[in-house]
Amino acid sequence: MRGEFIVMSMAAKGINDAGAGPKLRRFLRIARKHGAVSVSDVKSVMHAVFTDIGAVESVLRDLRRARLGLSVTVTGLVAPIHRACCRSEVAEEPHTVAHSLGVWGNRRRLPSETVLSVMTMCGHSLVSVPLVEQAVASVRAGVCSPRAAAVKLAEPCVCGIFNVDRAARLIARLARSGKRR
Amino acid sequence: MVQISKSKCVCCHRCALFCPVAAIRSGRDGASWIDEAICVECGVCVRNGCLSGAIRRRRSPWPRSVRALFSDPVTKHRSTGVPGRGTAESKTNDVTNRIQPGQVGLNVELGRPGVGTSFHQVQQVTRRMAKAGAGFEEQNPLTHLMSDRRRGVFPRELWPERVLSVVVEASLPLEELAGVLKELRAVERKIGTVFSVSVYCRWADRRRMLALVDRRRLLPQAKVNVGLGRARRQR
Repeated sequence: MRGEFIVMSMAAKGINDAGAGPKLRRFLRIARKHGAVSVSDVKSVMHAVFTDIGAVESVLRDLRRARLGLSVTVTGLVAPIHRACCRSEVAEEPHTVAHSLGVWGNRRRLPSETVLSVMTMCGHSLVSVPLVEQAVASVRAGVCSPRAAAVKLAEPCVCGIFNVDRAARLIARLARSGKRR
Repeated sequence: MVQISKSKCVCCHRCALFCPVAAIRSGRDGASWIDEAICVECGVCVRNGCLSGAIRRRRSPWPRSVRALFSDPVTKHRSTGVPGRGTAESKTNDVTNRIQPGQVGLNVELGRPGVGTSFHQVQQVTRRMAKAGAGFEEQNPLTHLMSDRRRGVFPRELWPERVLSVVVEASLPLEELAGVLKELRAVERKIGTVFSVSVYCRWADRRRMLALVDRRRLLPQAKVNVGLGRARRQR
């Protein structure tokens, strides 16, 4: 997770969503300008994935100057995000923070941690375990590259938040670990 | 309801690879078929799983209609009148101020990752949360399906319906968080599915909130609303 930051922008329904379209498009232009590895738009929620906190800082600085008025949330490690927030002069303190307490319940039903780390990149759980396993097997057999396998895995993810770069790295690692066994 | 046309199926079983809940089987004739009891109608097989156009979807009647509503992100919640699986939670709190200083928001997402859940299992969680004093979020579609919001109970006809995941949203005073988490720990030993728990609050309350949770469960990453949102009066 150290190398992944998701910047998300959205309007609040009934409060500031009127006329939000052009502002959201402006958000995407700013995200692309600073090298987002993927961007997407689902139901008027914009996502941009970055692999560098420096780029996130630049995005926040430009968003502050643009005064769009839309909510912006950054997902990733808290300390670098807090620093980026301060350095970009968005605020000394962010507004709200959400922490995950992980997965509870019948964890025996879950696949291995590495497979999980690939499939959970789709926030709606639309990437299946067999699809991840097949992607790893294809790379291991030399049928396709890790990147090509990751692109195929991203297909079911309708919100486009699936990080192809990180998935390719994880698939390559899974394929290598299988060869050693 | 999602079905595979036997006459169009070319027996490649690509659809089974894409199914997130392993609901697609192959028959003796080699053709694929969908186990309707397990299918959550997420639409992945319809969109990505078939190159020969053999998979078709028809709108399911109530109560089965909740499957697509909660499992397919591109489906709108017309039956509940609330879009999406939940609210924007912490993501627009700088504008909505739904969670005030001294309060904590609690989200429990059942069925994810990749296991799925039934409404009976959802009720196992919501009853415990209600017992510990959590108030369910008005703008969440799940809350609208409850027959008794005070007790966290759903209509009996919904209990067998399976979905890919649902998000239970609640808010409560910070000091009551420990009690609700204790109830969730009790239910996690009995429930047949998985659920993800997340908590959120104003940045200034972060230390107080983190003091109430089990640090061993805390994941390093978080969602930080940086506070750029501004409310404006709308017609």
